[in-house]
Amino acid sequence: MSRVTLAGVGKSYGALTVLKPLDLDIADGEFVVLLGPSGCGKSTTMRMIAGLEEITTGTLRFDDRDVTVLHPRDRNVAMVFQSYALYPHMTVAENIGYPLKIAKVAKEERAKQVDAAAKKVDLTPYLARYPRDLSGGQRQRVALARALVRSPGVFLLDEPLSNLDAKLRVAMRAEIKHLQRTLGVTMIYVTHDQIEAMTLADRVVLLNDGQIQQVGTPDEIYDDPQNIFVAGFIGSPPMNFVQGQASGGRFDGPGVSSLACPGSGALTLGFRAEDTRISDQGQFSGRVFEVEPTGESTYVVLDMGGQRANLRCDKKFRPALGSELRFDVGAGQCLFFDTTTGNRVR
Amino acid sequence: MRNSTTGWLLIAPTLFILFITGFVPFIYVLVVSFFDWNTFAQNPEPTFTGADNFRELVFDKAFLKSIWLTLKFTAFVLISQLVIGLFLARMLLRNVPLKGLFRTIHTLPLMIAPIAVGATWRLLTVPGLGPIPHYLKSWFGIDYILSRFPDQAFATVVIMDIWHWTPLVTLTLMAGLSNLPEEPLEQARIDGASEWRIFWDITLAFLKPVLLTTIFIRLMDALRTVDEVWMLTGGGPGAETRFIGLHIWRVVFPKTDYGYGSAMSLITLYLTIVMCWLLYVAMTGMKENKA
Repeated sequence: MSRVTLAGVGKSYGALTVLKPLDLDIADGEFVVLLGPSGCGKSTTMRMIAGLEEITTGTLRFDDRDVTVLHPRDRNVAMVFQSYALYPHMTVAENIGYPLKIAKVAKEERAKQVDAAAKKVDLTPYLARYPRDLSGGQRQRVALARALVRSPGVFLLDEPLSNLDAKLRVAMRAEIKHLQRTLGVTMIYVTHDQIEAMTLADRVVLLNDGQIQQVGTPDEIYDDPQNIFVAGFIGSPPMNFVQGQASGGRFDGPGVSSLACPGSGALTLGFRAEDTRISDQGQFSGRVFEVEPTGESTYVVLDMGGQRANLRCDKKFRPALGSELRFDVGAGQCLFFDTTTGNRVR
Repeated sequence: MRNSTTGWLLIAPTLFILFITGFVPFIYVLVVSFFDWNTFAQNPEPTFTGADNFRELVFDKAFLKSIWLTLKFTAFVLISQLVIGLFLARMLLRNVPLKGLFRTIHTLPLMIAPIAVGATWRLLTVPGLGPIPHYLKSWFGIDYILSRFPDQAFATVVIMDIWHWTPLVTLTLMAGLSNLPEEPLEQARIDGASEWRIFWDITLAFLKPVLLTTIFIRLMDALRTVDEVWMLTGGGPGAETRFIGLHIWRVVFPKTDYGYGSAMSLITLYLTIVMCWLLYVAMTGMKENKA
């Protein structure tokens, strides 16, 4: 396994910069998820690590080896693509064994290693089949087995669960995590799905507009966002935002008055739906705009002076539409951001 | 039910035309092949002879030679066109200088009618007039006379066909290559394969449907080549470039031996179908059988 170090790694196409120089140190055996919306540069970053895209600036190191300009085949990485990229004219066994065949591993040894890799992902009964005869989940496992069989230094997974249905996605998520823990491999995983990122990662790297917004554990990213983008991107439903003004350590905005705050000027208050508590003496108020029961809880959407806020309430709670509701936010759960720059104000 | 009727009504004109121009002539040729029918013979009336025409064909050296020549010609042009076409298609998809100009020039022969191609090449190769014999003689000391040397005639016919039809192969393979999925190729690159290995193991497999279609088209075209060769060599010297199409034409028209010519046509059609089928099985069936 390898430690991966990106030092000022960036990507430009002529004058167009798609990825600003980024620094990232991924420890040996760590599971890092690159997360962000479409076009944020996460796949480009992964493709540069794989060697499929040229690195325009900076250096990339695997352990102490500079691999910046190395061909993909010389980097000892394995990659699983979103489409699985299986070879349709080869059987499952041939697909898994292809990297070994290229490496000129003897036939008997190859068969042994293919069997071992297939066993790890429960594919043994399907070795003689062709990819077209497999389900989406099975194809996914073939791609994983093909990555595993080479014992690579780094595993790269580019949105590997996107083509699966919701139920299978959850199951495969657990399998991938279990596999990574068991084998102790360095894994870099690209996704736009924050749930995947939160459930899988040791650390999440959140990207937007070609630059890193925050790097941290899932808890850090969720509880302690560094800017309004991170706060709004992570969480379902997303964090509630109320824009207002602060002066003398007090924040005033629609539906909230005289709330203790740091800083001054135009601020945006952020709080999460699950940190709210309905209370007649609450410091916050709004009119019930919609009620959304989900089974395990009820989300109440409030209109706070034209800005919407979600509250997670008891599953039996059914307020009348249009009625006024007061609530509180848990101590220390109110976050403030500079409305102009989006940065966290502490 | 109504939809079905409307559908049949809509395709009826096409079916009718196909029936008149395709099926009726085929049946006619089939019937004629069982007759001895030569309008300039002593008995110009068709006489039923059963399978005599077909029996005679088996021992007809001229017919067998024309079949052999056609197969040899087809093998040469098909392999050359595929290799050259694939090479050019890959090259033209890369950023090479002047590729647009080259692609246009390369495609020009496709727009020329075969008879005109034959006429052009005849002008190029006529001794005392054409530049090819002139330069071959002055630069290499080679006597190039199509009407005298069979090997030269055969090679020239092959080269002419390659020149004329390779652009078609290049264009279809370019279409196939530009539609290849990127990810399996990138996967192979990560798996450690060299570019040559990727081409051999992965690209060719993805290209198989396009290759198969191209080979079918060119195989059938090559097997029925007539006009270009007729214009260039007239089938000569002797019968050294008399391919099956030319041979049938000579039997049916100047000799007016309709029955025998029809039998030849049917055998040629049968051979073409068998070759296409064998090719199809070889290219699509092998992997499944192996599995």
